[in-house]
Amino acid sequence: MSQVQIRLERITMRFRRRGQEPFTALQDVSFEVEAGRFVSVVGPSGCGRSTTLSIIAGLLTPTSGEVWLDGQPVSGVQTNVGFMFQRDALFPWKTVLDNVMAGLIFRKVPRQKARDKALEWIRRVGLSGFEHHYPYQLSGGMRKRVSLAQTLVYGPQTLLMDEPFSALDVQTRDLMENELLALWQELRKTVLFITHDLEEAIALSDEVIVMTAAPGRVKARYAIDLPRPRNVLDIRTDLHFMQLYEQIWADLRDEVMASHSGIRSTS
Amino acid sequence: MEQRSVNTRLVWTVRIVLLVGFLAFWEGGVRAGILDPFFYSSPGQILTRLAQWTRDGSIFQHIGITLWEMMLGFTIGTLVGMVLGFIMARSAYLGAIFEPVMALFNAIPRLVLAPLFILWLGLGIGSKVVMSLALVVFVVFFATYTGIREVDPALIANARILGAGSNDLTRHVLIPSALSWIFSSLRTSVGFALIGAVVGEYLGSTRGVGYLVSFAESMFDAGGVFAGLVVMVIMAGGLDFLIGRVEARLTAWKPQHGR
Repeated sequence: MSQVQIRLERITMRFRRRGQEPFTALQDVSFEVEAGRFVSVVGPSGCGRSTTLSIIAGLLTPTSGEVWLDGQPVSGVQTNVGFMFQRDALFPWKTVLDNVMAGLIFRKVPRQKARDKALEWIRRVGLSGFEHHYPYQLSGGMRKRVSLAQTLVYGPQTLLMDEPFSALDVQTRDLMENELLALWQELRKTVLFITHDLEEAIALSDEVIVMTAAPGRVKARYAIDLPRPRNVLDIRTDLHFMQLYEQIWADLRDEVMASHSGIRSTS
Repeated sequence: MEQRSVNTRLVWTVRIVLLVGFLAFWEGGVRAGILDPFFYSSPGQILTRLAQWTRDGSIFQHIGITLWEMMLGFTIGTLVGMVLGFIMARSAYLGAIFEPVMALFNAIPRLVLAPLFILWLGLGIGSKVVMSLALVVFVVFFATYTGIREVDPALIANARILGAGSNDLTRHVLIPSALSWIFSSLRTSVGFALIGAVVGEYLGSTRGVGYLVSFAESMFDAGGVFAGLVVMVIMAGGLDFLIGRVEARLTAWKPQHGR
């Protein structure tokens, strides 16, 4: 009954580099994400996880292969997705309110309505009172909340998240993860979440996809059948969580080692 | 980061003591016959000249005309610089072709062009405006060009996913980024605008602060030259103060360093 929200078919991405061999970031990557699921992608650094997200969002065009989003083939930048960047992508010259409103203003939503919706989302991410602050005046965690509000305000069905919390300190990160889960529980968006942190991936997701060292391919997929709602702090001590962790880590470990030694594992 | 706090009152006291000491030394040197007032004038003489100019009101006309030339030069130069910078930054080809040309032009000491401008445009206000503009345009061009080229790609990607069309991108991302660079070079460009106008006047005109200096010089009136310089210093100081105010308003979104 559940429909496919994201579908990748044999995506290959090759980057030409001046004076060097072309670099193959992705090789025949295929997977599907069903609507309303929270799926994480883990893999060693440089395995093309971020590239995969950029391709789904239409920011990059794959060398070959096809991407389908919500039943439509992807060509050009997709505006029906929400994208959270690893680095800070807030407009530094806009206040919190104007940052959150941006997506609505670009969509020609009348100003008053955009303002009301933005204020509502600022409240939901717990930033009331900071509407007129500029990004530089906020902490890293607060900036992430602004990003989240900026992304959710126009109601995208798909959320693409590129290591959104990797730059945060551990406590802030746990907090943000729990809040993201609570929001997701309520909104039931499709989430594709990139991370290098296996614990984070398991704690948040319905499914974890493990990618190989470059050139990135899908190595394995694991269903995470931990009960919801979850608390990312408590769940880490859960026995089943640890079993899953060990199982997936055994897979991931080889790839991390391979990426470090610079030699592709031959498995 | 280490923060060293400075006692502002102490700083001002030392500044004033130094200034007064310097002026006293100067005046005393002239009175004692060590310094020749024909070459070095004296603070008293300069003050007399300034009082005389103020009394007959001529100085305000000169200041007015210099400010006017400078404002025109600054405004036109800024607009032209922004438009050129924008076009070249957005077009890979135009940028590649003309950027070195601009850099080359920028390397010319443009003050030596002043005689040409006067030759072409006469002794009137036009040649001064063009002189001033010629200095400003490059500062603004490079600020705009870099501002647009250096926009964080993540910002552009984010704006596009948020639904920004090409007009939105220009208005909400590219122009604000360029403006932040232009603002940070505001002091330089306003300073250049003043220099351009004054040098133009100095080399050939009948009005303006630069003309005052050049006229005094032709009369071997060192006091007049110094008085003209004092007027320029006051003008530059006033402008600097104004820019500081404007800057603080326009770049409210930037972290303030040591302010």
